[in-house]
Amino acid sequence: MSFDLAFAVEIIPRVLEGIGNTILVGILSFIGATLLGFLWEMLRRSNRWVRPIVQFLVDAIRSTPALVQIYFLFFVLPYYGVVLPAILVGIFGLSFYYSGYISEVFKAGIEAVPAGQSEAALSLGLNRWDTVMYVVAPQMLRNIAAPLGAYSIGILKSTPLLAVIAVPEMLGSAFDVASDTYRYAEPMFIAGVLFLLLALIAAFLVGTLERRLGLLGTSH
Amino acid sequence: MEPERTERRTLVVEFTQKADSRAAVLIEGVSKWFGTFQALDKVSLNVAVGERLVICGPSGSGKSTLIRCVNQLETHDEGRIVVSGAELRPGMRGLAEVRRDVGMVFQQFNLFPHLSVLDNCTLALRRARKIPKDAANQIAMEKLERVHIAEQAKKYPRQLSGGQQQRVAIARALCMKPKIMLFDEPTSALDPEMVKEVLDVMTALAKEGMTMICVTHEMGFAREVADRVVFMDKGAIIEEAAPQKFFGNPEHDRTKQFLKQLLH
Ligand SMILES: Nc1ncnc2c1ncn2[C@@H]1O[C@H](COP(=O)(O)OP(=O)(O)OP(=O)(O)O)[C@@H](O)[C@H]1O
Ligand SMILES: [Mg+2]
Repeated sequence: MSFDLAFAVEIIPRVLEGIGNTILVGILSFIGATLLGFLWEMLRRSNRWVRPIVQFLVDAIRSTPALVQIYFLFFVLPYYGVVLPAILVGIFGLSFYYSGYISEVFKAGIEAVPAGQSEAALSLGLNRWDTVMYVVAPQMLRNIAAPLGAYSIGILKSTPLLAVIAVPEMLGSAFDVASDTYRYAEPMFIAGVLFLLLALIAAFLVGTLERRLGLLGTSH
Repeated sequence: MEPERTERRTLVVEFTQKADSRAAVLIEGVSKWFGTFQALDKVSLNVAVGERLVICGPSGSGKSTLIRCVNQLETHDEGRIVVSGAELRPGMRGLAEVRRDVGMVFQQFNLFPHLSVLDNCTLALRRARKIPKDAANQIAMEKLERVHIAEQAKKYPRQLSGGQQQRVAIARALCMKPKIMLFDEPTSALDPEMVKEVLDVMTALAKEGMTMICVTHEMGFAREVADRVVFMDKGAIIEEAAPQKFFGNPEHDRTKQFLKQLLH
């Protein structure tokens, strides 16, 4: 059974059925993971009682497989009366899993801003929040754009994990084609190419963003 | 032990009451440790309203640590610090309000690189003092004119020379209308030809009656402007005198030695 290019082209529309969910889950999980990651880092910085608790949480998140976390949310939440559509559970799961890593991106990004910057802001009488929002965060953005971009692609590539809780997405569509036709090479190939395309688009967007942030402050 | 302690209490209370009218900054027996290393050793120092104080001393003697305690960029472990009548405590409420009254100029300028010169000056006016944009811009332009750099208002810090950046930093601090200005070696990071333009601005500020605490080794500036020079060594103040006396006839060997080195 050799690779049949015509067949591969023919099944593209069917594999594409899942791409909407892949993009949706990818984007929402990335937003969720970024917001949660930022929250963890802010909590870690807030006071010395909260810091060890949040640090433990972040370590725990990073030391458990994403699949375990997704299964956990899927099977355990209903026990507490929280019944959500699988796709939402999946988005929460991926957001949660990647938030652990992204909080470290924020941490490194903030630490790369010289201490003198927040000292100057605080000495002017800005409160901690304004110091972070108007002085540290804008400078941090430039430091985090690249690693954050890498995680956005990582999240995109992890969306097939949601197959385990039956969220229909692109790899799932490819599997459907495969089990209908008993041909695996072409559907997997097409799914791979489509993921590659999505990753390239994401990388392009990140690159554009990075360039714009890099220009910040050099011109008017 | 006990009677002595009460006595000290009453003394301190008296000081605090006077503080509101006379002392801009009151430092009483302040000690500070970094881990096991003692950076400040029972430092006491009063600065009157309108007084110009110069602090000098060898590297590592605790000069920066001391003035950074005055706006609590460092917290002190022992003793009392009262600024404009408010006692500073670690984690206190209202610290931001106190800091608005205390301007600080750093050795490395610490301008915000992502903001224009004008926005550097207006950020705290708008966020902390809640002054509307137009009014804030007006105040900022006034202060930038005062340091002779108004024409650069639209530029970004990295487009300016070191001397210009430091003058912007001074203008930025002045925008908050501080009662006290702290300078931590404001000219040490500058090329020699730019030192004068910054010192000139500082001298003008002093002549207008600003209360100033300056860590600096610029002898000319200290002689011309300072009411009092303080010498620090190993975390303690070991000599304190008017500039004539300090430079002409210092008492301690350590001071003499230091001044001699400075002249070389
Ligand atoms: N954050 C810190 N952690 C540990 N040690 C510190 C810290 N800041 C200062 N020190 C130490 O405290 C001592 C006093 O430092 P400080 O910066 O106040 O000295 P200084 O008189 O300003 O010196 P310089 O002229 O070099 O600026 C130094 O020995 C320094 O190494
Ligand atoms: Mg210093």
